[in-house]
Amino acid sequence: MIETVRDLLDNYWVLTPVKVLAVLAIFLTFPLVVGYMEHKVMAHMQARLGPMEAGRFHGVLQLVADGIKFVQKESIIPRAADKWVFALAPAVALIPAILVFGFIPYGPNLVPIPSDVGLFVTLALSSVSVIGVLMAAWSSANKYSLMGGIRAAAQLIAYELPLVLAAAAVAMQAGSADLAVIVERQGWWGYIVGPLVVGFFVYGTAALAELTRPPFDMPVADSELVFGHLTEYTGLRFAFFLLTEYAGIVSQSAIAATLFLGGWKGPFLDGPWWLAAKVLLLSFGVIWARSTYPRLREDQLQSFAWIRLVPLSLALLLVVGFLKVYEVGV
Amino acid sequence: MPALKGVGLIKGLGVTLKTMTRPAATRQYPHVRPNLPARTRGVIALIEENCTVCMLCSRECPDWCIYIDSHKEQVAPKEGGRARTRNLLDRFAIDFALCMYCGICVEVCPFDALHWSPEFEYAEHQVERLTHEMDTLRKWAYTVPAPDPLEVGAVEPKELESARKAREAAAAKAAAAAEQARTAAAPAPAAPAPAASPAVGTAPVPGAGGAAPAPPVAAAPAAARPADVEVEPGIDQATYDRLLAAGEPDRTARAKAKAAYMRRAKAEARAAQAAGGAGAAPAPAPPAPGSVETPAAAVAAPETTPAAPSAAGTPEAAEAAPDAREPEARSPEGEPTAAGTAVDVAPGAAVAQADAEHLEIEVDQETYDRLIAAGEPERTARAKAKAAYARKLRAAQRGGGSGGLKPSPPEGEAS
Amino acid sequence: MATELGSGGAAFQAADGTGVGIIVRDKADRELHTQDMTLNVGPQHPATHGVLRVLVTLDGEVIEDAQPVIGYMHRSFEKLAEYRDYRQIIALVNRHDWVSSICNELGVALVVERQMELEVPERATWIRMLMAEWTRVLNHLMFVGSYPLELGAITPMFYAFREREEIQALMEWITGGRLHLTYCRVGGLKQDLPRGAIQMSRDLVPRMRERLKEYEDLVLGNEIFAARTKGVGVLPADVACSYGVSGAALQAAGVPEDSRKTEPYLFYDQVEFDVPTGRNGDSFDRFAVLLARIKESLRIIEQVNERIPPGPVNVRLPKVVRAPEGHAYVRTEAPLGQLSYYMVSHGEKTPWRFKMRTPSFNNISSLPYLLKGTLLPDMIAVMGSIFFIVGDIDR
Repeated sequence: MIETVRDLLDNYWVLTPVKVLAVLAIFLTFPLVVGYMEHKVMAHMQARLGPMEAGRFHGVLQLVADGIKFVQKESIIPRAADKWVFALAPAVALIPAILVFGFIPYGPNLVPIPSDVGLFVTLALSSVSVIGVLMAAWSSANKYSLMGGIRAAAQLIAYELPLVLAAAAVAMQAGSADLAVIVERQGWWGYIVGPLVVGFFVYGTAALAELTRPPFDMPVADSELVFGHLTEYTGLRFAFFLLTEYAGIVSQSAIAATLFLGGWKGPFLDGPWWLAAKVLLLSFGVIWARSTYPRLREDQLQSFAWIRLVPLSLALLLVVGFLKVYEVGV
Repeated sequence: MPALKGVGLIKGLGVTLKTMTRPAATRQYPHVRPNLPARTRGVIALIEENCTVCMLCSRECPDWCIYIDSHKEQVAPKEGGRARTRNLLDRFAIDFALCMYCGICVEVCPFDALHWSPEFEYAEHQVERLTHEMDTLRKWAYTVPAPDPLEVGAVEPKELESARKAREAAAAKAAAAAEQARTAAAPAPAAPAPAASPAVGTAPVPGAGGAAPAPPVAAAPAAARPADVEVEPGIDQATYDRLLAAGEPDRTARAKAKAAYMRRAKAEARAAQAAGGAGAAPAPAPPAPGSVETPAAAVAAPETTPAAPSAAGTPEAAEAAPDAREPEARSPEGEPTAAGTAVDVAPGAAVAQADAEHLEIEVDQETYDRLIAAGEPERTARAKAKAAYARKLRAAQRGGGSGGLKPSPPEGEAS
Repeated sequence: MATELGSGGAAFQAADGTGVGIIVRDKADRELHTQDMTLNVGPQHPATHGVLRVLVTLDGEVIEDAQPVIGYMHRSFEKLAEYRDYRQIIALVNRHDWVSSICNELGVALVVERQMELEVPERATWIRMLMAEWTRVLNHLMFVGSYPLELGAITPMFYAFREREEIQALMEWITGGRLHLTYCRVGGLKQDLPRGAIQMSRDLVPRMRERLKEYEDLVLGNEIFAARTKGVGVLPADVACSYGVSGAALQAAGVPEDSRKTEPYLFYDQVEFDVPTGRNGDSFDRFAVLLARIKESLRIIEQVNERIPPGPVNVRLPKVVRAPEGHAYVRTEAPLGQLSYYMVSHGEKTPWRFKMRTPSFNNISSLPYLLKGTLLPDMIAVMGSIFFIVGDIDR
């Protein structure tokens, strides 16, 4: 029985739809789980309960209800908006976010799209979303959206650098840009023990900024700009943007777990469940940061990136390289 | 540049994490109903019988949201006397869309016709339905709770003071009558008997000893209203000094001292007169304001009068009467007497009750089921069942001993 | 029709000749060909507390000019007061600064009592103080919650409202209302406290004190918060005084001006408390002063709890309360600043003129000074730190 399944899966035309379905399944469930977790965790941090009604048991079906609500809403495109750009912006933001899930190693030999340069592909894909943001901002024909979009673009570009540099330090340490190899070369505790812990914090902060999550959410600061580049979006398009954000949280957590925390490796019984646990843990950290911190002002944000993070990550690169060359254990 | 030293950031994370581990402060309405204090300004209730259409509430309302219509009626005189006119209420509506819940109308009503109730769930889909007419306002009356007892050091409200004094006077008189009855059998019942019958028409807080209009807001103390005596005005120095020392302003201290003096002087003069003149108990003045009475007391008392309510009997009846004087019982069955305006005594008694006990209350299931089956809306059925339960509980408690004073703090947020 | 102005600009009269639309173009505009963007902040905007509109002229992200436009919430309190008797005025006046109800009523009662030379029983005065201080805590907690919210920290808001609910439960027990208490009357209070209220007040004080530590950890000690608010919106003492700013904003500028100390009313001269002051007059100091004021109020409440004497809480008033002819002025310290009432009476049961000097009006008149030269994101930080209520501005 297993033989036939294995033979079948060797066939490219069978394997690929299975992979696509698997990635879609992960893409559609994990962000919802993280979204629900955000509702509940943030609520309890604020001494309240969060969703309790939808789905009877503590509101588990809240996000499903939200999804249905979004689907049945009227799709409004402002008259002055650039129709095609407006309509395509969510897609441009969303599709790369889905693709990222294809490159993450879920277990030993469980990478949907094996690639030698998996690390850089994922980083490149996550920066395509910037274009989606700019498209949304510009086509909305709204002063607030424009300002939000410009801020967002500046922020995203600025934080690409620390992100890539920290990831590069890991690649240097592991000696490969293939995500699967990077995981294999780590112990189950990952690269946290050692100078790369600095890299972990740099990567984490840069990832938060890439996702425009608090405290780096000035582009969507609702107390100033209504909702920034998303102001004019309603209904399903808006839902896609939100999905992009949560998918981004999940994928960035997954990449960070892969690079720094040992991916699917655990103290016992390696497998995708460890990756899932680490992703949830990091997502909890993201939500925790949102509950606690006010937002940084745009110029503070920029200076933090350019004057603090970039030199730090360059220094890290230097140190890791030095240690690697002289074969000092990490 | 943000100087991210980091310590404050970590502390902040600690605060949120700590809060996450503690129970949430949310109470899930509508699954959990709030326990509102007695003074909560939820909705205004009207007791129609007490309203004399004086229009004070309507005039004092800052929003003019009270709509009153009335007409005058001639009332046939009882025996002799002239025909009296009476104001009858046609329409009394409060427009809660305008009402600002300031409570001035409740405060100014001299006849305790308006009360606050903590009910707040009366939202409507149409604004016109926010104008509550007399029937709705009466339904709210079933939900009016007894007021909380006042803080230590507060001045006792006049109703409670006169009720208490009347009780004490009645008890004293009853004791004296019992003494007398024991020593000389004859004259005792005669005195309370005629005194008791006029008490029929009044709410007998204590019925024995003197027919007194039991304490409505403007009532005299519960001692029998004696014939007037001439006394020179003066001031009771001791009272005056005491009040001044307690911090009363001069004007009121003087007034109270004068009242004390006058009372004492008149009592002395009367005693002198009585000793000198015919020694019968002074004829009680017929109570000018009639009152809402409990059917129990109203019906029972005339029957038992010939049986000469003994000293022991009347305190019981007196006790039973306020017990029956629940908000539920008083309004629908009570009728205004022929003697003109109706003064409700119930709040005074209810206040007295409140002073005695304040209990955690549940609902009496039978009453509730019966009322729901009869088609009553859920809210009023619940309120009436609650009242029935409270009555039963109090009766049981009184049977077993007096309940203690229990303050009832509202459900604040416990951390 | 264009007329030249001395500054080198030009004034254009609107074509319809009404004189209403006069547009002035400055010379600088014609020379540089730049266009300042005019941004309308409000009247509907999440950051302004209510319907306040600020016309902001931006050069990039720097604010060149900011003009607050008020009046969207004008409810003509002063005119209404001319046709309401004193008890009705007390009920209405709750509503201009709607988060500090008793403190508004207090001023009205005091001004009428001053006019009538009425002696209020001691117990009433002490209880008034108790309620006023709890209301002050309520008001300050509201801003302690909403100011970090504007900066992006969403959590302190919920904590603040949790505290407010506990205090409001006490208020509801005592007066029947949670927001608009309508508890003061001319000559004292409406009714006495229910049994156990003072004990509940005693129990609340240490609980509130503990929670204040949370705010210090979560907000005041947070480096991001400090970075957003330190040095932002500096209001020097002389400018503050010239605009008539009062309350936390003035105290943060270093001026220890508090009507409870300067012109004590009720029994504020018999309790011990300090007036906290800041050093720089920036937004951070204003927030810190706010937290310190809560602490001082709790201190006062602790003392008042022990000092309430027995006695009546009101005096016997005539059926119709008439203030004698003349005028009176009373100055109180509302939570937002100095609240004064000036009443002119012609001997009737309604006042002839009832003027309210509200703190928020003067506080936001300093906005043009504060906002000039700041960045747009700082505008929110500055506006939120001035602590105003729009109903208080517009009356």
